[in-house]
This record gives sequence, structure tokens and C-alpha cells, in this order.
Amino acid sequence: MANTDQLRCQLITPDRQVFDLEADSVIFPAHDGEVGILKNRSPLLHKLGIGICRVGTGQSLKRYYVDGGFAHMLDNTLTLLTENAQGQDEIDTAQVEEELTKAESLPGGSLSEIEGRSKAILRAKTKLQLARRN
Amino acid sequence: MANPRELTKRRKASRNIRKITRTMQLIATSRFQKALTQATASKPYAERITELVSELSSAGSASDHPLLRKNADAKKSVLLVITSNRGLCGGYNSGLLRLTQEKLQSLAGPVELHMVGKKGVGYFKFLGREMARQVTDFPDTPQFSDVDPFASEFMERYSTGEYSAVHVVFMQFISAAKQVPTCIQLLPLSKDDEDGSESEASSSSTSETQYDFSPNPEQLLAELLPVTVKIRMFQCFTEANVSEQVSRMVAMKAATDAADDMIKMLSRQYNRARQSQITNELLDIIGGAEAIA
Repeated sequence: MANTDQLRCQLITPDRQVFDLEADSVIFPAHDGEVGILKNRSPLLHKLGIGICRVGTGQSLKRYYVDGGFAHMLDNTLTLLTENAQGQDEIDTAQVEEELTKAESLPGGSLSEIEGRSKAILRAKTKLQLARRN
Repeated sequence: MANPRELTKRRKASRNIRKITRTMQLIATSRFQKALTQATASKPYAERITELVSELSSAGSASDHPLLRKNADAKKSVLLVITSNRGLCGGYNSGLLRLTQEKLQSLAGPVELHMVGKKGVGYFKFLGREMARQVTDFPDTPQFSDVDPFASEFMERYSTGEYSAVHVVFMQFISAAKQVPTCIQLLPLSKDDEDGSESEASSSSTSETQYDFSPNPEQLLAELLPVTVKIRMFQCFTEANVSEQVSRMVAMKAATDAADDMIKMLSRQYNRARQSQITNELLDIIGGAEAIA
């Protein structure tokens, strides 16, 4: 099955290709929990949730914020398609804090509104968590 | 022979216009390059999403999703037209509006017109046709999130059976020298495309791959289809933007060239006028001197 011995990982958004690199391991946030990937994993098609994607290459570990989407693994190539992704150093803490206060003040009358609000809060909190981590 | 002073004035005016058109050309060129980068950047995402859809549909999930289903009993259809906010871009808007008129006549049943861009809005206001939506503040460089409200509304109202189809009219960018006004069907997601990608998938070995699905393929497809619609729509917008910039670039280049010709012609006329004026004055002086002598 495997035609390369390295795991290749791509993170793609509609605006850009965030990265395309060879990785040792990748942990991505699926819709129902985190999924870890090593090379030669069997084909997979998962829905992504909101969370932090960790990509391990050699000694370093890179973290990216991922906002939903899909993960596709085939022939040692893992493709993460998401609507919005940000690297750890691309996040502006002040801006996210503002986002969080805005999200917290969203109306929560109906069920869909509550859902939208908790999603917005989760997005902001995940970003903050990533930005504050060193 | 024309008055030299008049000619200088005209030449000056042409020069000023040339300066303006030249600047606009340069601006359009830089914007075009930016827009093109953006349009190319969105391609990998769209391609991968289409691949996923074809893999999922070959995995045998049922395709009675509301976005694939044909709403036979719905009467209304939607035409979304993407025009520009600004003029001076050659035949860009007129080409789009001509196609829009054709489509309005050829589409069966009442058509809800959704208009993006000041130029289109102005045109149909002048004609007195009702528009369901007028958007004049669409950003110059569309972001994926800007497309969201449109796509979500269309998908929701299509799913409830309100619309029979959703079409988008936009300027397709083929090359820097060629852009064609195009109408694509956004909803229902066209079967042609699916068949095409399905046969592609079955020709490669991927269709036999056993995937780990989470959640199940039906739910994944239901999640994936709206994204497909959104990315398609987003691509329409980015492509329209590229075409607009390239049209403006070409139009302004033509205007600058025309101004160059005009300046040249006026300069010649002016030189001739000046020369004959001098000759006349000389003749006057010589005549006067002779009369005195």
C-alpha cells in the first residue's frame, strides 16, 4: 500500500495551503475526539472538529488551530481540509480575546442560537489556548 | 488651420487623461496579480473536496440528499449575477448583463434575481425589474466567509423545496486574453459533474479502497455537499474578480494607447499650426518693411 516511507501531511484551506510537509506523527481533532496518525495508517476519511492539530517532525512539534472540515488519509498522505486554519504564531491574542467577549455576549434564546454561541466560544477558547501555550 | 492655443489645451487634456488611465492600468495589473494568486490558492481545496465527494459516492452512499435531489414541483429558480462595483472595465459588465437577460428569458418559471455589484444593480433598476437582493458592498478580494451567507441561504431554501434551481452568472477567466460570461448551475449539484468524477474514481484504483469512515459515509456526504456548494460559489467570486481586473487592465491599456495616438496627432497639428503662424507673421513683417522702404 505504502509507496513512500514517510508520512506526508497537508493542511489546506480555501485561501491557502498552510503546510505540506513530511511528518513523523500527526494528531488532529476529529469531530468526536482526537485521532493520532503514524505512517502506513490504513485509509481514513473523518470529519474534523474544532481544535488543535499537532504535527511532529523530528524533534519539533508544530501546532495549528483547525476549524472543522475533513481529514483524508490515503497512501501515506494525510490531507486536512478545513475552512480556517492558523499557526500558533499567527494568532493575535488581543483579537481573540475580543472575539471571545463577543462570542459570550451572543444571544442564546433558541436552541440554534445556543449552539452557535457555544461554537463561537469554543473557537475563541481553542485559539486562546493555542496562543498562550509556549 | 486650428488655433495653436486651442490645440495646446486639447493636448494638455489628453495628457492628463493618459496619466489617469495609465495609473488605473497599473493598479489593475497589481490587483489582477493578487486576485490570480487568490484564485489559484483556492484550487487545491476545491479539487480535494471534489475528490472526496467522488470517493464517498463511489463508496455507495445514497444520493437522496436534499442538495442532489431535483425539486420538480418548485416553480421559482434563482439567478445570482456577479457584476463589478466599478466601471471602466471594457465590455465586462455589458457581456454579463446580456447573458443575464438571455437567461432570464430562457429559464422556465419566475426567476428570482440576486444581484452583486453596483453596475448590475443600476442596470436592472433602470429597466425596472425587481431584484430579490442587491449587494453593492461586496469586498474587492472575496474571503471564503463572505460567500457563506449567500450559500447558506440558497442551500437552506433549496432544501425546503422553495427553489427549483440556483444558477450563477459570472465572468469565467480562461486566460489573460480571454474571459467568457458563463452561467453555471449551482443547485441541484449537477449530475454531469458527479458522473464525470465517479468514472474518474473508478478508473483509478481508489474506488476499491476500504476507508475508515467517521461518522458514516451518508453523514459525511451530507457534511461535504454544502462545502462543495460553498467552494464552488467562492470560486465563481474569485474568478469574477480576476476577470474584472484583467478586463480593466486591458481596457485601460487600450485607453492609454489611444491617448498616446491622440497626443501624437495633436502635437503634429500644433507644430504645423505654430509653423504657419510664424510664417504668416514673418510675411506680415516683411510686407510692412517693404511698404515703409
